[in-house]
Amino acid sequence: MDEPLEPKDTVLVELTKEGDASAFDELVRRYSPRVYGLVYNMTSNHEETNDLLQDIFLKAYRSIKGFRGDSSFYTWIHTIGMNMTINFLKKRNRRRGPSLDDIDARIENDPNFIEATATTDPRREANLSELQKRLNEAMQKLSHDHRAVVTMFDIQGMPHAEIAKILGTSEGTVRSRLFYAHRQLQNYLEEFRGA
Amino acid sequence: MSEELSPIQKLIRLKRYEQPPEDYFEDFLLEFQRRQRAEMLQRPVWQIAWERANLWLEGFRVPAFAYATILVAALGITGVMINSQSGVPSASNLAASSKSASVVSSGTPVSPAAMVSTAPHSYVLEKRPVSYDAPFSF
Repeated sequence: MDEPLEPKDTVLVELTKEGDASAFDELVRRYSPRVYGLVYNMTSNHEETNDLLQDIFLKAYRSIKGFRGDSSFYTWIHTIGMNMTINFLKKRNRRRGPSLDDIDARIENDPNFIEATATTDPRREANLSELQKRLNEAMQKLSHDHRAVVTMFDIQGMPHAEIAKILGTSEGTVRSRLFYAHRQLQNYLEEFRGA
Repeated sequence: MSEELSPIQKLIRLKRYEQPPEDYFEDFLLEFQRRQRAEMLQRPVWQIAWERANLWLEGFRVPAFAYATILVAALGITGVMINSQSGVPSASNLAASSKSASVVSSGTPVSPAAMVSTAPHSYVLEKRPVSYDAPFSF
């Protein structure tokens, strides 16, 4: 038996504009995991990500009447998410500076991560926790703009053109930021490279 | 993606496995709904009234040229008003001013034609007031 077709984003957006709050719930269900990944990899902190994610979707709900459909809802919600996250990070840095103690440790128990890094080398297994820590530290050392392109391209697998739309810049700028960010990360993670 | 991943990219890609617990997103949605509904209830009255007024106005289908027509009409009326204030005085204004001149001045009244040609207006008074004349002369 065929599964019922899910309504398109554009239909859900129109229904939301007409006052159907459950249509927006469906949009939240669809996009919260993606936006979570975006925010989490920018902040490296679960609690902050959770609060920001709530604010992002509330803001999107409040301003959905201004969404004219020039871009996809996916691009639009990512743009709101990225702008709010960068503003939040700027304020946080002014307040107390980036805290690397906040970094989540859940990845160590993630079976996908363990499988991806599984090896018979005991030294490398012992370094798993260190690797995650270094990776997050290295990410936090990047500027917001560089971290944003690394998050969207390398972690979330978005194409350059989509990232350019979200950041309101050119594809060339995205590519050059990626190149520079990779070089910086290589320096930070030199000892793990090719391990 | 046709490009081959560099070791550093492979390493960064591992971060995609950093996911919250499975039931996180359901809880997230419930919390979102609670905040969304609470916010809707706390909205100020003027905001609700404004939204309803907008919805009501949306019911009217305004023709495409209506706004342009209104703008042109407004500009035209403004132009006419400016001209009437700063241009040549009208005939009725002239009549009124000549009447008042003849009432105020006790000397020779100035004709309307003269008023138009000579500006500014001037009034000639008698050199010696009438009350100075002797009341009786025999």
